[in-house]
Amino acid sequence: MIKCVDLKKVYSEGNNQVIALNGISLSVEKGEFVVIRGKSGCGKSTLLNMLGLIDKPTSGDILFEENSILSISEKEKARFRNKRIGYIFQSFYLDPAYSAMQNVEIPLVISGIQRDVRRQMAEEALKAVGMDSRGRTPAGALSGGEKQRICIARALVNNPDIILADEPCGSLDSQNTKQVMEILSKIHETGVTILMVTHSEEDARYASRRILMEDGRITEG
Amino acid sequence: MKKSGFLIIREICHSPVIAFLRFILLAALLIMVFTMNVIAFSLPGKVDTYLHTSHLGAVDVLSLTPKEADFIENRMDLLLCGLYMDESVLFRDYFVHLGDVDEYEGCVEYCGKESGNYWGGIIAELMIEGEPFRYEDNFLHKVWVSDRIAQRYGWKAGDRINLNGWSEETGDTIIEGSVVAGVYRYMRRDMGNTPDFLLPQGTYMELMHTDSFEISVCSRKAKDIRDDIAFLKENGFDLIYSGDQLQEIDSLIGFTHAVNLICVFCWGIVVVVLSSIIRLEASRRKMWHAILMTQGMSRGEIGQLIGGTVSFTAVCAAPFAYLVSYRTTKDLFAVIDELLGNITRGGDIKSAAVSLISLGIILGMILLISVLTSLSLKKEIIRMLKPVDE
Repeated sequence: MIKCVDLKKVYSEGNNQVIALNGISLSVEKGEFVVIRGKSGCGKSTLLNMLGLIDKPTSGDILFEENSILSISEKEKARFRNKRIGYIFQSFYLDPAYSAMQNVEIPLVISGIQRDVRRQMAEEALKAVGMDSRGRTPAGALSGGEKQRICIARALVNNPDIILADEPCGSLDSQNTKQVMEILSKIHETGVTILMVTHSEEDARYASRRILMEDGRITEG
Repeated sequence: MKKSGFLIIREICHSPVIAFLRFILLAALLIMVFTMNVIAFSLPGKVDTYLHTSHLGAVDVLSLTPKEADFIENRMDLLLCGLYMDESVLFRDYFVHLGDVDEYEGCVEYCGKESGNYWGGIIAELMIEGEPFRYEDNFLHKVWVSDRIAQRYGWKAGDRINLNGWSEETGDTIIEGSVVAGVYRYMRRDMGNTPDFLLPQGTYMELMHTDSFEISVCSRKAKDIRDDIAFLKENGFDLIYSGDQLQEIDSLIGFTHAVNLICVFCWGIVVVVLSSIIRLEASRRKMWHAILMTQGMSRGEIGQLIGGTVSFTAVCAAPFAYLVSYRTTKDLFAVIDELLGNITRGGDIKSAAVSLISLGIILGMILLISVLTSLSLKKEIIRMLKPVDE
């Protein structure tokens, strides 16, 4: 489904060059739940950003359903992110002043869906994560676990082909972590592809495939 | 989940009702500030004149058009002017000396239209007991005499004139120089009349009706004006003030100070509110960048959105910023003028102290607002410069 070929990312810091990704080749098939693990700074978040078209690689290619997606225009990439990718972050990126419902609606607003339809889709997404009763609550007033469930709902709302999750439980306690991972697991069971970055071995147990990264390379999986 | 009190308060604060109330509060604040400024700018005599009143005489004499000069020249008999040689003009205490007018001798030193301004006429230097009268080191009293008067009395440049009892003998009018603007306005409104009274310097008045005057605000203290009036009464001048009007001056001057301070204070609040709005928006910008980027907007579209928001905010804020700086600068200069006046012209210590405290408050407010704004913005700018994916 999504494939990267010999992906390299080099950052320049003055005269020094930092190699964040050193020739990564990876293929994720439709319906897989893949976890990328590794120590902090090994390049796993950078890889996720490349695959999510948030950042550009220095060299290499990214294929989506066998088509290169690096050469498409910025606008097309934006539409691609909107329609086909769902994102979940450790730091949530929710507007605290917006209600949970409004936050979930953001990708639908960007894709130009009408208000009534938008509201219905957001309600369904909130229901899928068990947050339908908290839709009117401002995101700032939610607990960490609830915020992450709102993020999952937002990632789901456009029915994406793949969900990219960057340490989704990084700032949650064990109870909320379990809850969030179970929700992700259920979503995976519905056929959604998930690519998750984590350093937690426990979270990685929910995945169907585990990959280990070290110094910008895949060392296992 | 059991809600903490803090969460409940936050929920209430984010409720639509509270949001609406906040909007109403902000709107009310803006309306109040606008109203205060409208009041300030439309007060009788205008608060604006607070700063400039003491300069009106000289400025207006020198800026008269030929037509206006002819108009005044044909109606005014003798004009006494106090001029600083360095072109700044300070008239305070002038009256004390003008009260000694019987002891003055004038030396007519210049004649004709070549005097450098449209007023023309004869400039005579006032003499006291044979010596040119000087106020401090650089102050020189002049007597401006119209051609008509010069012809009537046969004066020419260099002549010494004796003003002892001049007004009583001739029945002609003496007008103190700093009130030329007011006199001019008076004449313009009441074309046929030649002013026949002496106006306390530092004030000017407009004839609203034939028998009553509206008193404008001036940079002088009510006490000074009261002293002038008492002095004039003692010396048999035809006065225009009544006891009630004096009270009016007192309250008007007090009100003017209050309005000025309230205006500065309100604009200070507006600046703080606007800067906090900008600060809030800036703090949300990084988060919004991440949200919009990942949820399907391109960098160009985000740039347009943020650029549009910033431009809109700037366009909305610009008039406020202009008014704040305008109002504050004017009040600042007015207080400095008052302070300098009290120090250099022998004012009482209490007045000087009050001026100094006022100056301190205004400067303090400006400093506080600047520091708070720059600190908060600096913090936000640094935050904004960090990459989104950091």
